[in-house]
Amino acid sequence: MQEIVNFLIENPDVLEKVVNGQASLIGVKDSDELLGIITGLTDGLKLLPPAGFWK
Amino acid sequence: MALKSELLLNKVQVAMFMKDAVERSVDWLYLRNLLHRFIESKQTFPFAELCYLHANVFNSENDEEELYKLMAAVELLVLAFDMFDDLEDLDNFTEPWMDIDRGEAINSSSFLYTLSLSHIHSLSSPYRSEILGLFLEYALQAMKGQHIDLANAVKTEKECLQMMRWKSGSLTALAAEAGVMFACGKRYEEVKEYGHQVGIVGQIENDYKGLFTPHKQDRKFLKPSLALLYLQRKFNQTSVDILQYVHSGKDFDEYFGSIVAFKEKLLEAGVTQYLNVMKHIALKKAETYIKKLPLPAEKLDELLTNLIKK
Repeated sequence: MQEIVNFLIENPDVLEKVVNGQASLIGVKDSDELLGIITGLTDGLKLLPPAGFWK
Repeated sequence: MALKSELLLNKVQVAMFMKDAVERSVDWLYLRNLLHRFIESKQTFPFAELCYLHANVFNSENDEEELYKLMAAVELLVLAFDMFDDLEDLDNFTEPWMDIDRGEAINSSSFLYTLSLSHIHSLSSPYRSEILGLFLEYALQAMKGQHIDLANAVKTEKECLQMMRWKSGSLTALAAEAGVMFACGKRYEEVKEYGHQVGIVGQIENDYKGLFTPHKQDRKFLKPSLALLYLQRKFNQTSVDILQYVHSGKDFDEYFGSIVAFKEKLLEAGVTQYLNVMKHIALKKAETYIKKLPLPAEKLDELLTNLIKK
């Protein structure tokens, strides 16, 4: 997952295409991982806000 | 952390039941007061909440007093493990057990660990043997994870996630599974799986907060974690800079100027984004497992509301 995150940080245009369904990521096992990547890279980055049960 | 649904856990009651368990086992006032002080230092009871939520989702007519006894046992076990963790890592010096003689602190944590198991034995639940089995299974798993962590044996992301699953996920899975077992005498693979994922989410958040603990008092940053493993890949110069700081022995404000500047560096390196991704993957996995449970829609919603959507 480290390479994928780094690649998407360095290539925000690709992230945008992934979000819009115009590109897919090789090495992502399932939809949980894909949705986790998209949410994790587009939601509340600066503070890493507590989520779910731990909020 | 607080239950979002209509379920209302009485936190004062949880602490009271924990203290009651101590009183039933310790007649020496000195030790009793010491253990009470440790219990009183707890502000939140997330593991009791997990247990309570699951017991109520799987059976709405539980014996409340027995359930509080179970929750007290869960929290006593977690307290013992928290104490062991601090004593082994030599950190969290503000905790009351770090403020006393080390031998007494170690013995107190052993006492609380054993008290937790003996408390399960005293339940009148027909499933107490099965619940005790869960406690033993997950306690061993948590200790295995803790040992891997202590031995700095983690080298890859996969190994780190496995360590977190055992070390932290075991305790959240235990709280959830114990609640279910108490309520209906069954085990569900789904509960076990999302229980572990919820623990991983909590551990990622703890590790992130740990990055901002004053460096001189805490060597946690040097221990293998998702953040450190990401930095060690040296994807960019900022990662190299942060690694130099990690080994400098200086505080982050001394090295970077301020907490804001340090947070900016973590963002620039990609650490924050990476941890956020790993956290959300664990949350999505948990959500998928919850939805697979053979429960009515309103019960699933109860779990999703409290564990995922909060």
